[in-house]
Amino acid sequence: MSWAWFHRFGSPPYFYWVAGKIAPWFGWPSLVLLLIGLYGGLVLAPVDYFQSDAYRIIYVHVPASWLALLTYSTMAISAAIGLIWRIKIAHAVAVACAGVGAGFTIVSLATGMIWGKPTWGAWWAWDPRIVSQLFLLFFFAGYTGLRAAIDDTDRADRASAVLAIVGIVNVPIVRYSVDWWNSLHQAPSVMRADGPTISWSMLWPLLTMALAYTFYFGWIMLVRARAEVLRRDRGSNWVREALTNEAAGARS
Amino acid sequence: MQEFWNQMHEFLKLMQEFFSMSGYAPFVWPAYAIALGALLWYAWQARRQLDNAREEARRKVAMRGDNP
Repeated sequence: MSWAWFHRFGSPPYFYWVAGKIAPWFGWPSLVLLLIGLYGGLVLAPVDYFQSDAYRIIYVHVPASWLALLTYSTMAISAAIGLIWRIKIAHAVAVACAGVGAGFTIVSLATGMIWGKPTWGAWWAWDPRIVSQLFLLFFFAGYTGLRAAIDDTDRADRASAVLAIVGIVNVPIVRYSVDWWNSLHQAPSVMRADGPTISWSMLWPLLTMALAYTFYFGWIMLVRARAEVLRRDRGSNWVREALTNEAAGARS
Repeated sequence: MQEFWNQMHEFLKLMQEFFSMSGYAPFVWPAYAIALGALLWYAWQARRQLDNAREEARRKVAMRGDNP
């Protein structure tokens, strides 16, 4: 198997060009899926027998939680690739993930708190799922804080990569905490070995929203990674050529 | 005319039911506002980041004497 395609992504001009080409293919489908998912979740999905309309928070809470885990996993894998193969693009991707991941972990916690009040009677509970999700936020914050504390980009890349890799331990803990420990948080109802336990009329908007968030992540990661690559290489010849081509493209 | 006002009344009743979310509106709508607000905020921030990076790179190139 040829790894040439993989190594080509290590080239900043190639990455910048490819990311610019494919980003819209993530952005627009994300918007369409988001509108379909919102309509399905807010209007078409039936009212829940136990939670009434309060359960509709699931359509923003679960995708945000899924996005937080996806973002952390992507960040840690990219950081590991950057550390092992010394590919700078991989570090740029990890940096692009960090800010968004922290934001969506906060959204996941906030929407979970709002959902917790009418269903559990409390805004917060020291529950394994919630606490491990809070640790995820600390790892994102630690990654960003560590980078901000080191002026030299190469050193910041290496140090923050180690922290990101250490933090990946927390991802399966977040995912399986409801199976491993007694939890106030409900058990998985979608990703189960014996199939989803949630009705299809409630499930399809959730899957659509999760897909919308996944496409959104693809788009935002590519845009942010392009900005990071430009920032790192702003004095180089390829950036001059890329800007010239972009200016010519804008004029024509 | 009476038919129109009856239909309008039915429509407004439906809208009121929808927005009240069976009495859970104070929980449901803020959750959606936070989630969708974050999506918009990060989208705007990412575009701004890329524009700023381009602008900074252009300045750097201009300082070197090239003009893209």
